[in-house]
Amino acid sequence: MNYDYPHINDSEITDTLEDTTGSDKPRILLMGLQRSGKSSIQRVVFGKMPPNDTLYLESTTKIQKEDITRSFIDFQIWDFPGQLNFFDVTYDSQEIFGAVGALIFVIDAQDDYSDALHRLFFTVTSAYRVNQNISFEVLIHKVDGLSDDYKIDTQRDVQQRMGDMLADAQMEHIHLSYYLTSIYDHSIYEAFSKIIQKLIRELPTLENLLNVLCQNSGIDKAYLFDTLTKIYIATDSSPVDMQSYELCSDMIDVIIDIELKLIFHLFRFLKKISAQVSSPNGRLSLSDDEEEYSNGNGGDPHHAVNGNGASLRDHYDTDRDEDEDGDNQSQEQSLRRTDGVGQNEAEASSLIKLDNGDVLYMREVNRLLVLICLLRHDNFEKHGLIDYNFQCFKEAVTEVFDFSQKRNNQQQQQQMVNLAQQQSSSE
Amino acid sequence: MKSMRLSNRPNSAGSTQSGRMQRIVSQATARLSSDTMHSDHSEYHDNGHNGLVRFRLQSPMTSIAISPEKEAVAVAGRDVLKILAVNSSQVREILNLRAGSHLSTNYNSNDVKWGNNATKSKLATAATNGAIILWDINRTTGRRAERVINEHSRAVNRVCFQPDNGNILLSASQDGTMKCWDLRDPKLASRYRFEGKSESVRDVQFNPVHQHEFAAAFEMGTIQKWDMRNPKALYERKFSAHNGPCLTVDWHPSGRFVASGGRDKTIKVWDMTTDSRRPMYTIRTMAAVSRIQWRPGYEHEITSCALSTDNRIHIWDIRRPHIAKYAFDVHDQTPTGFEWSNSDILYSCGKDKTFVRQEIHHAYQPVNVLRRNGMGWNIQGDLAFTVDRSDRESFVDENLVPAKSATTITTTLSSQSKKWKKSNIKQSTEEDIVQYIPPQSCGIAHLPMFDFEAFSLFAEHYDILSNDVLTCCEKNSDVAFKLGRYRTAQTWKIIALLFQPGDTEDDEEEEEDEGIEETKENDKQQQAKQLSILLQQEDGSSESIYTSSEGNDDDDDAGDDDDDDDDDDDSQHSTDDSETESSVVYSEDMSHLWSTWQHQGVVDELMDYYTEEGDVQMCVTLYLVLRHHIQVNSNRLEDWFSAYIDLLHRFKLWTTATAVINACPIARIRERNENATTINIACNNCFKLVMGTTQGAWACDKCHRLLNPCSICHQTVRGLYVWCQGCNHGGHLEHMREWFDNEDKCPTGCGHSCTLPSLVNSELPSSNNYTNAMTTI
Repeated sequence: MNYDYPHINDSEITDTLEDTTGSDKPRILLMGLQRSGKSSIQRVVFGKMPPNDTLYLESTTKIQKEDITRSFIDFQIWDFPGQLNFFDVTYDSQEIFGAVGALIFVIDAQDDYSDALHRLFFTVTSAYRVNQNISFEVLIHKVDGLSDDYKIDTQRDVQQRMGDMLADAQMEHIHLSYYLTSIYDHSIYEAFSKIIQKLIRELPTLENLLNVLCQNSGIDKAYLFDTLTKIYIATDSSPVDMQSYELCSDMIDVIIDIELKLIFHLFRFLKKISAQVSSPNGRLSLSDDEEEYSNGNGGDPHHAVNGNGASLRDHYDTDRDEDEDGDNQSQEQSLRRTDGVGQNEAEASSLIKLDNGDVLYMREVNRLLVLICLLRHDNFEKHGLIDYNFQCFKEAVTEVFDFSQKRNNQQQQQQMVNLAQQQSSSE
Repeated sequence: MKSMRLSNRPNSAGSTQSGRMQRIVSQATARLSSDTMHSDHSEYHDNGHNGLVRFRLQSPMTSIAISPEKEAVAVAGRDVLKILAVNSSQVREILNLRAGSHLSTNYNSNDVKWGNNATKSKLATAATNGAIILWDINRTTGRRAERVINEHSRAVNRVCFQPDNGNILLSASQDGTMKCWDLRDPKLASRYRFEGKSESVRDVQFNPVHQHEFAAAFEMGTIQKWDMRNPKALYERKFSAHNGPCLTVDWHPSGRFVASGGRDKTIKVWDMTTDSRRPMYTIRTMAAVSRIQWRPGYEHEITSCALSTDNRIHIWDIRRPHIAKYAFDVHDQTPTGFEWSNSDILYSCGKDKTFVRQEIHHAYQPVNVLRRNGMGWNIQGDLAFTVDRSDRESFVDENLVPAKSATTITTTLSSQSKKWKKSNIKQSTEEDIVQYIPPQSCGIAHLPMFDFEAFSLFAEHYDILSNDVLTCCEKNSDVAFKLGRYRTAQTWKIIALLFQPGDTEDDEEEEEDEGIEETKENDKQQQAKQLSILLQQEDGSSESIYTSSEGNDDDDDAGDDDDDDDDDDDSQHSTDDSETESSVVYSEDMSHLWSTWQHQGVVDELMDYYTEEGDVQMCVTLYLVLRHHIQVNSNRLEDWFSAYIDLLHRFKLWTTATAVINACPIARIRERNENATTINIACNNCFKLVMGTTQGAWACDKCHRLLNPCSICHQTVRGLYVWCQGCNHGGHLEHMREWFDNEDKCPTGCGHSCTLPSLVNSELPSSNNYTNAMTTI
């Protein structure tokens, strides 16, 4: 083993730790053997890299730390090179694992994973000794090449062998969660959603709020998405079915594409845009239709036009479009006034009708979060009710996060005080 | 203290906010009030003649529970909780528990269960806000909601009473815990708390036989078996059952097996007593499975409904996993809950706001919709088929069920009293159980209708391009003869004779070689006659044609007719048979004219014959060989050609197909070669396809190297590219010329001497072994 690298990295780590001590960001560690796909996961989920481009990623040689700042989730992802041993004496494992929220271990399912399992066992037991609050997550990765039966067999095998190893070491109280993932479908996003939900302390509140929203507005399924990463940080308590999740996360892509276009074009140009966006449901045709938007969707001409498609209407009440007429504008304006926040940012909402009679409705909660609801077309007739309930929901979410912000600050101060006391007492 | 506040906070925040939300507007409350007012008018009864009863409520339902005496049914949903009295002709609402309740709509129900024995007049509902509510339906005054338990921090997904002791209630919650209450003491907090160490618990159920055991389904896809007597320890047994969330479990009435259903669209049956980590049975359904229940009275049958996309309730037989035994198609949207009242009557409810009472005879059997026999051809003319040999009486033929699995549930049930002998367990653990052997037999029939090998050999070896009819025919005849197609060979020979300025001697010899007795008549006429007879013969082995006596009789008769005809023809055209016999004097042109005239009819007949036979190969080949001598209707010709080319393409004989297309005189056929031809360039470095523009490509997309760069300047060569045929290196003409003025080795350093030593000094490009090639890159 080359001892040059660890020393260099060691100094880097301590540097970064000085930066981050005191910050509330939970840290996610991505670990695993070489070429197991850690960097690919990081780039695809947090860097929006197309999965096919990950072929060209170079092997990671030093710890790559990434702050997810533009995302709602204030997380740090640390991508560890697979070839280094971090429990070596040259590393301060306390520093590395002390503040970790989740340790994600990536196993290449298409490879022989016995080595990986030994490494996983070693990593888990060592990290557990340092910090007992880490949640250990095992991604059985690259399962896109495996058949359904083989997938579950692999998971069973991994789970069995790890269970046996932990039992032999009398550490069976350590709990590992296993996920079958692939960067080529939504499974990696779902796994990350679940991992991150474990780290969100407000999750029960958010879930309850979503439940209430769903019940009172006749919504079938609601997701609270992090706009940047397509990770859902909360959903209502009904089971997540893959189709609705895929639809909703594809909707984010569509909307972001349009949003990017909007930055460069004036709003009125949108009327002329007829972008074709592909989605799992076929093709979405984009058009801007003010009249129908305002008169409560009586009838649906789009269905007749796009047999297989779904019509998407996108409405932005930016401040730039003051010359746009139509009563929907006033509606949106009045809504915005009710929330009492004089924000200049665009608050996006958008609506996609699917040809099976369902409606996808997206509202921006804040700059980083969007709410996407899936509901029957009949229930969407009470549009005003939904909008109103949404405003209440939004206020509640803001309140929840303000509260936790405050609490975090208090905790930090408390910690600082404690630290100071310790120092003074030691002196 | 701090942690206490953390955990308390979520609930309070949620409830204050939700309170506000529903205070303002709630369609639910509006609905609810109208519901109670007009319930008798708005609901409609579909009084089935034979027990199929529909009952429409005001809002979607999520769950259903049948009372222990089976006289009433509780239905629960987002804003509905009602008791219905159901009989075979009508459904009547007895009680609306929501009416007059002080609980807000936030306490809507995920699940409802009916107590038993001591609690038989009580209902438990699980609410999405984490509460469990106990209702007493016998209370006539005051609040019917007897008790509200708020111990879960997240939504409760399922509640469950212990089967014979209605005072024990178990819950499964989104917060990852299962809790157990003893309802005899109304103040007591949960007696046990089970931490699955996994994500949300989706379902939980008591073992009907060993009541201290229960099974739980987890969002992580695992199912766990617990023993209540040992709440401190971990689960007793754990299976990673599903890929994705596991949504439902149900114990087999024997108390030994558990069926589980998940989002991965499968239902799996597990033996809870063995160490095997593989399912005993797997049923693949069409959609994510949201609820399952064993059909009472039928130990092999499981009922399931989907989470979304499928509106049917299916009944599966685990011994025949590929198709549902019964399917109920009564709901317009996804059914969400169902329960068997007895083994034939099923109550169900769904998102379409309808409650349905149905009986087993209302279900259809998907098996009867399917065809049991099938067949298919392949391109070689083989026929694959399946034939059903099952008796159609029973859904699962006991005789055909694999011995091992047939014994599994049944024998284990019989041996259950013996506390599950070790041997029995061993038996079912290690070996994979073959679930189902289809009763169909299948087979492949090689039908001798089309000889694929001969066809392709003919296609490859027939000479179609040569202009000389004689040699063509000779060659084709040889090919046919070698393949044992004596009749075809004979045909070619006859054609050769027909279109040859005849030399009788040779012909006669040939005929004698064939061993055919000939009357000394005019050769060619005889040939023609033979040919026509040959055509008249339906089939039979090629040899028998000439030797059969009947054939000879026909021969004579036909010969007479032909004689007459030919005589007429001959006299008109002043070409005598005897003359042709001896004369080799005719010029070729003349003979062509003559033969064209003479044999058009025979060839037409021949063509007709082969068309009848469907032998387009022969038609096309014949036409191509004789293309200068005969005329064929162009429509007919096009049909032949397109059929033949299609065949050739199907057998991947591209070269022959191209040759045939090229030889075809019909423009529309020839276009085929011009339309669908692309020439792809491969990178000379990585051998991947180069996707260039229409002007050509500069570099390979895959390996990012220049295509054919100059060896000297390493630039792409436009215009003249010069390369050595010895080492394949080259470049710009100018650069190469400069280089080889002084050097004689390859400029890349490959060590090859590109110039011929003797010619070094003489004039360049023409003098050395360079070859110039124009490449327009």
